[in-house]
Amino acid sequence: MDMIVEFLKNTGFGLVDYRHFIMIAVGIGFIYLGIAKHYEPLLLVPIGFGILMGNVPIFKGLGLGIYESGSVLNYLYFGVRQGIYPPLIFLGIGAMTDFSTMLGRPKLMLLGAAAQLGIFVTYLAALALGFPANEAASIGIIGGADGPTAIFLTSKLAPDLVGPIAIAAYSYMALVPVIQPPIMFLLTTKKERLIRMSDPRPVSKREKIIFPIAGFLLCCFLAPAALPLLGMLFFGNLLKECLVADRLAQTARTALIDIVTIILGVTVGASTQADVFLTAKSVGIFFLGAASFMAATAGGILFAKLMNVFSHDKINPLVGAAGVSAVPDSARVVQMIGNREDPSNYLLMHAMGPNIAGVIGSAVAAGVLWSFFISP
Amino acid sequence: MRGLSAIAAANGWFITFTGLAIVFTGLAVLAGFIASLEKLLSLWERGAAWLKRLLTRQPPGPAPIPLAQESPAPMPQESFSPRAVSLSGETLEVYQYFQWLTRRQGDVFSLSRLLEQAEKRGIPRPHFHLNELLLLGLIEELQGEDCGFYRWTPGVTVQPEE
Repeated sequence: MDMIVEFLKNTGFGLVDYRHFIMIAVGIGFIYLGIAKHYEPLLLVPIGFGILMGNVPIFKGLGLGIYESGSVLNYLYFGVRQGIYPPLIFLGIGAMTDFSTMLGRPKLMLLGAAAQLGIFVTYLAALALGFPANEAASIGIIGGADGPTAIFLTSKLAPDLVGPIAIAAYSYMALVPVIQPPIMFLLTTKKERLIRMSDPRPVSKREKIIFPIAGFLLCCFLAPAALPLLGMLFFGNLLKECLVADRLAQTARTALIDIVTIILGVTVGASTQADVFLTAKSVGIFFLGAASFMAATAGGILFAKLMNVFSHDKINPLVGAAGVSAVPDSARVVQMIGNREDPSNYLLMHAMGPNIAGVIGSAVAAGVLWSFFISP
Repeated sequence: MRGLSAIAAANGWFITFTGLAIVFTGLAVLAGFIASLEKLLSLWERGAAWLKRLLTRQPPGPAPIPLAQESPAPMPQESFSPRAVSLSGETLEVYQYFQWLTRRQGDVFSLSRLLEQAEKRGIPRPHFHLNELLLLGLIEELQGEDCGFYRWTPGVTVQPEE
């Protein structure tokens, strides 16, 4: 009888406490949002299941948990801790992204820069709330709306916060259709939302091939710390555009990015062990992350309005909201809101420009923040 | 420490303004470069064409022969009449990609396979450009057993539109 009682004490039922239930509910919530609502399913389903894996109560010391050295999950988590997975994901993103909408109307790239305002505003807010500077920078990067970038910077600056920051970043990326529209309506008039934009110029294949090389050199000379992310992004894009390395591009945009996404999603999810994750700091990170997204959206919209003051070729300010780099969700939201006002106004193509520029902008911002905190 | 003093102590204002300035500068420089890339490329093309013309010009002969100078220029002796077709920027570029793609198939190629490969590689408006090349006589259909297959018309050269 004693043996049976002892055995039951060592099962999950004996070790569980309320925090595990909360996290398991969060994990199921993620899986539900991914499957039923189609919110970023490729991310939310692995992360959601990872949360379940990380929150099964286990007997410490058996080498099962993600934070226990030698465990399988700990080995897989190595790629997150060392910032290996995000550049590989960027390679795949580069190999699947068509930059032509951005190349066709380069001035829209400035909206991608303006939306990075969210990163720096949140950084200041986090400092004001008493977070240490390195953690504040990691929290701020959530506003970049770019999961791999947020994980990459956090793994360098505040490795203990990778779990909450990754979860916050991906949650808000999935909730872009919920977070952005109220801000878009608040900051634009009906007349502005009805603006029709002229077509971008056609882009030649040669420009598409030159861009990743020139873009990489220009950005990385300016912010060398962004090299792992931007290097892989532009390299992936060169593979896609050069035509002669089609096999490599195909692998990067399919098998490689899928494998890395699965491992990254599951391990980030599993890193949210209740005892590590459910802290006051995590709650603060979630609030600041939401503020960061809102500030980023507002930054893009307001800058688009500012550009309209000086430019004859009017920009629909809704497009500014796509400057946050949640590709392609924020561009889809722009299309959706624009369509609600005028069903024949197609903004998706225009919104993809700032959307992709946002990816580059957030990687540059991460590089800049990292370089400020690299000890000499 | 909290509030504005915490921001000041961590150099928050400096990092924020410098960070934003770097992000804006980076993307603005990149945007400027992209905006001028088209012009730079056309300038490069014109320069290359000028250089080519300069290099292909005949150097003066050592001793001019009066009789030869007076006689009319000799006519080409090839069995087919060579001709040059001028193509605009985009069509010329697509022509070069089609040339590259058909090299993999050999001298004789299938149009449907060529189109499939062009679409796969994201070449813009492949049907339109292929039709244009057919109408210009750059591609010709084979006869007899090879009917349904095509080849690049021999003797036709391509030059950029002035």
